[in-house]
Amino acid sequence: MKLFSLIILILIFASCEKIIDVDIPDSEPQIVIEGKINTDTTLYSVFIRKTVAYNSTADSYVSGAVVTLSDYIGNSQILNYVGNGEYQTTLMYGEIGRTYTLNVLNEGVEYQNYSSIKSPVQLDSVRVLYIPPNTYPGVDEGLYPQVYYTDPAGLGDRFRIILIKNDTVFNSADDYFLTDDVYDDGLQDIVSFFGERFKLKPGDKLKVEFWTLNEHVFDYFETLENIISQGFAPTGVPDNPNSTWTNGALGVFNAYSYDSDSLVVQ
Amino acid sequence: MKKILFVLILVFTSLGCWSQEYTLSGVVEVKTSAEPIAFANVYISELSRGAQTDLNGKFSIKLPEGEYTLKISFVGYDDYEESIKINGDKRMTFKMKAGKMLDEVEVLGEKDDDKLKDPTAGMVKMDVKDMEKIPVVFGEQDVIKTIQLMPGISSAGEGSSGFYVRGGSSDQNLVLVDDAPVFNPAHLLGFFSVFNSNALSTVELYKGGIAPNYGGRISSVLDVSMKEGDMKKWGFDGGIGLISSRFTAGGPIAKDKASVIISGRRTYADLFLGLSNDPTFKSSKAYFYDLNAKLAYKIGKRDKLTVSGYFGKDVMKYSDIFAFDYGNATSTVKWNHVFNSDFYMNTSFVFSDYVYNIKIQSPSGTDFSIRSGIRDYQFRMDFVKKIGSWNTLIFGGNAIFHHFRPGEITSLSDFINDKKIEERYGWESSVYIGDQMRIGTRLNIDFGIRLSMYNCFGPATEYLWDDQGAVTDTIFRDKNKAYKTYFGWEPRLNLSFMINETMSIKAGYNRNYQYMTLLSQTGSGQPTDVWVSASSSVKPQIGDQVSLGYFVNFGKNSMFEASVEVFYKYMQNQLDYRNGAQILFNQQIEASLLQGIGYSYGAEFFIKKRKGRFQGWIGYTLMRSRRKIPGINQNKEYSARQDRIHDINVVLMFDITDRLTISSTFVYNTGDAVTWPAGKYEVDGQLVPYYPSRNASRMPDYHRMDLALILKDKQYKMKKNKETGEKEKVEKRFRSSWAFSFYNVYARQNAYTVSFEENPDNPGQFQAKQLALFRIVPSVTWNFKF
Repeated sequence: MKLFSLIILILIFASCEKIIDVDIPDSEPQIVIEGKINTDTTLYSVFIRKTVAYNSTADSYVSGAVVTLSDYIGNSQILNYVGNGEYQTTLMYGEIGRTYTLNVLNEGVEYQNYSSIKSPVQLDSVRVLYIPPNTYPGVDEGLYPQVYYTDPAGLGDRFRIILIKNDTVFNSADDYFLTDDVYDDGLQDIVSFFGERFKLKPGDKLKVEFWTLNEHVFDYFETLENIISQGFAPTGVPDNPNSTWTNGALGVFNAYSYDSDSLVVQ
Repeated sequence: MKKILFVLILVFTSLGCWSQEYTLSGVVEVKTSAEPIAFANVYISELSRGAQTDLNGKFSIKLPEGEYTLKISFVGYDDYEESIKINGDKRMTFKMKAGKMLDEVEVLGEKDDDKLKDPTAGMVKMDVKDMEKIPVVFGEQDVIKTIQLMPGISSAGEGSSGFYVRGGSSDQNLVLVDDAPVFNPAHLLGFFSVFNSNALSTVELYKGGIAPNYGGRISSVLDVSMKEGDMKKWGFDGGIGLISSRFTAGGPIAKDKASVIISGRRTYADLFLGLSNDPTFKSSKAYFYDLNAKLAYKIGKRDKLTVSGYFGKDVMKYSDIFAFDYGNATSTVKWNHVFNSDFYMNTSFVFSDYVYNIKIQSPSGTDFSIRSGIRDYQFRMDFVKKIGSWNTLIFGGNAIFHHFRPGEITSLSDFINDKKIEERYGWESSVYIGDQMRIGTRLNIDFGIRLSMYNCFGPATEYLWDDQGAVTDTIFRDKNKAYKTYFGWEPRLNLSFMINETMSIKAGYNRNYQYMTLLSQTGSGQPTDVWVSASSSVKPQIGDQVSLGYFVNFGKNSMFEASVEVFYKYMQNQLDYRNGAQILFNQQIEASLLQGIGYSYGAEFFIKKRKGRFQGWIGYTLMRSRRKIPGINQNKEYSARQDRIHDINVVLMFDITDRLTISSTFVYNTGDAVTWPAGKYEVDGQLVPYYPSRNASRMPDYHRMDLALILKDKQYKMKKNKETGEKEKVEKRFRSSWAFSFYNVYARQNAYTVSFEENPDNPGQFQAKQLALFRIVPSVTWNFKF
């Protein structure tokens, strides 16, 4: 009987995957600008690239652009090109409460974007959760990271969590841990990380960065995640991430503040 | 305008009134059961004049004084012939006897030239019994799957219960079961439709030429009616399949006066889960069930009351962490009253409800439940009046109260807030009038007009927003006050002209308003899709369609029928979403919606062999469906997902013997228009696809062949006649048949989805990965009736 039911299930649900050749016409290359600034006292980089054919293995860097970073109180500087599409700041770092403008002039077209550094929301704690065997289907027994924070009252808070285990940053397409307060405004929120790759063992070092984001940056990451993660786009039709760059440039300019916490698993 | 219309009606309706005529009215019933026979043909040979019975088996015909031969025919029944004398109005009941060679698979109730004469060009009529020979996935007969094999109608995806009609989207189809709208006609992600074929009698689909008594959707009307119980004796039928079983019982509760029928169906694939040793699977569930019931009661000679209901539910449960159920409930109370032989009325109360529930328990303790749905209450009155022998006037109206419940989250823990998306209320009402005119023997004209009105009622919170969809202002609407009203003039016209006895041309125009739209996450219909009401900012959809068709019968005894139809459809206020729109639990969803225009055009070719041992049809549709919506695709025109340029259906059925039938279907269509990356780039350490334009690529072509083999038991047994002592053939009461079917016989891997991912052998490069759902799906069902 068991064998019989197994055969039926296999016949019916034996879905199959394969790699296929698809015919997609080439598109006009589009400029992609990616910049960030936070409150660290380090150098900041702006990357400028162009899109390439979907099955190409080459990169396309933009080297001749004029890149200007400025704040609203008169500080401004032109970034230096260091190669491979990367432009670097010299002594300039972000301050809480300030709005920054990033300006790119390339091949006669000007692209502009802005972003503000908000006050950082503090983490309550980073913890390790033990799940005993056979507690939840799909979750093995083991130690898993948990992040606790309290959302400030009032809608509109947006965060991104960066998880670092033993100096390895979780940064794959499935590691966009974005959280807002649509469902839990003003409440304490717990974000748990289940899955084999997050599993901790005694001696592991766990570090968490908690970014407080601008609305448009959050929207960018969210719509980016929609098209790169295994999940599906909410409306079924994929589209480019929502960018606030002028003149149709792709990419993001992220000014953010953050709190961080770490622990060593006992 | 009103005056002109009135005058026109007066003129046309008086056309046939020049001689003294009497009315012959009657009911056509099954001799053994008194069950009304719908669509039977009544014919007066001397005058070449005829009528067709309505759903209640009734007809009426105007005749001058004299003696006539009345013939009634209906496939599967012996022809009925009687001489009648007309010297005044007459009412009669005609009893038809089931034919000796009862072949239920013939197209029922259709005379050779019916289709030629019927002015409704884009109508597909199917008898549920027609479908038994057609192979389907999992062996379950399915109205919606079968109708998808007709030209101009295509499936919304592998195994989907959603369908596209002439380039429209699937929420633009009005799906009715006994007048009640079904909001989500799908079970088990669409692999089964909610229509249990055992419980149904007739199915009509209008892809164009929609009559004025229908309204509310712009693309098509699928009108399904449930079977009535037999008035004479009890009957039972059912089927046992690998996935599901069904059983129907129907019969009289008061002989010749009242009948009842109850039909149920349930899947039991999940019973296998119980065999598992894994406690997770053991406590999991996945099934659906359906229940149809109908009660008919004749009150005196002039009145009939029917009460019908449909209830269905899908249940999915994964251990204790995830529980999901959804289902429709509809009920219809219908009172049919005959004023006189020329004038009758239907009054109905209709209720329809769709709801889904989700309950989630997560390991971190953020437990919550979700509930969402839509509910309709409707009152409608429809009148049919014959005026003269060449006119039938139809008029009536309805009022629907829509109650939209977009979603509500109930927190079961401290880590999440309760959240409720505001409910919406709308009144949709309409009045209509139409005339079905027969001018001479060649020209038939159906024309009419429907006036619809939609009122949005408070309480409601509405938002204003800027070009980017960011909310700039909030407006509060008072309770029980209409804050937005829309009117729609919906003219309808169909005409047919018989060129000769075997050829006709038809033309049609119709305009429809649609005051609600389904916000779909995938375009193919998901249980969690949300209906959104027209409002101050969301304008009602308007569809205009013109069509022209040429119909011909040929071959011996009109063995073949063929047709060519062309259409053009213009659709206003079509919806699409801003990028990243959150459909679920978004109070300000309207700010994420964009509206624009759509149009589709095409040609449908159809040839059918409808008589003989070998029957079948070939349909081919050449079609385009395009959209232009500001804010999408840089404001440029693009293909709708359902822009399937070529669509071919082949259905073949061959009776090898009287008991054994083999059948096969083949379908081919151009792949859906989809958005695929035309480039790529790197951002935030990720390889990101680049989408320069919407729906500019094509899924791989879809094609598939299915096979079915139906083996019936012997129809007769030998029995000794007590009087004569001789052995004679007697029809068996218990009949059964085996249906073996193979879905996708040549195991074509049709793409269900195509996704793009990084090539593991060559990082930095994308590759396209296709997922196919089924290879070959065999199934077997045993059907019986007694």
